[in-house]
Amino acid sequence: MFYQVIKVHDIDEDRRKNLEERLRFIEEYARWVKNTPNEIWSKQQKEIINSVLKSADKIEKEGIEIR
Amino acid sequence: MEIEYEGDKITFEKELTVLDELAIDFSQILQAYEIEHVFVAGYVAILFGRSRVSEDVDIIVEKISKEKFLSLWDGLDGYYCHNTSDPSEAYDEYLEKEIAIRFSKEDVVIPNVEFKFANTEQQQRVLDEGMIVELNGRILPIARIESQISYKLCLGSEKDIEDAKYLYDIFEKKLEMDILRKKLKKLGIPKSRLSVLSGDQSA
Repeated sequence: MFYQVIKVHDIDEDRRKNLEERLRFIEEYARWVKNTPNEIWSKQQKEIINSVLKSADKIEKEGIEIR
Repeated sequence: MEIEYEGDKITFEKELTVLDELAIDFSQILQAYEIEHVFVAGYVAILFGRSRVSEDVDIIVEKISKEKFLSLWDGLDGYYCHNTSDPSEAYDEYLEKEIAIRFSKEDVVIPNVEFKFANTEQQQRVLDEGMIVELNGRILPIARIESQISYKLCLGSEKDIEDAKYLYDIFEKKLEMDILRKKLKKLGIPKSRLSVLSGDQSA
């Protein structure tokens, strides 16, 4: 039902725009990393990656209970 | 970013993520057994600061004999294999059949190391052309940046293109563009895809 109301053309166009936007952000982020001391960008990176992986590992081990 | 890029060696320091710690620890075991290996794929972009998560670090390992693999297995103290607890089966039923196996630290599911032999000509070339990263004084062999970018562009998913773009932007001034173009050509990737990274339509 969902797919019937979305034209393939629209999805492709949306994907292209989304990727362009993502690549612009990555360019901006890479510029920030290059101009920022290692201890600052790596501290932020560590906090994000470690917290996500900790949650993911917990879910893998304990599963999700849906009530 | 303070980084030293000299020849085939990159030296820098950073706060380590759990992915970095896993990669360093696993690599040190392989180094102790004198087994050639390189880290590839998404982890390389993450190593140099890309702020995204991966459940695994991918590693291409030289094809070793079963005897040497069994010896390595004994040396992987504190790790378990997700696929099987039998090292002989891991070698015969997975690695020999070109299927990757995964190792994690005990009591952990994520993250893990995806371990596979250099089975194809392309993977062997990536291994042979590897470079060294000295991270916080520890050695990590990785595939050269031009190989990473071209392979990521070849895979072509949005995530892969983003990884390629990040590496391109970080190492733009150090990349050997002739090598990158040759690698793209070898993989059958149109030059136009390189312009996605540089924004230069004549690339």
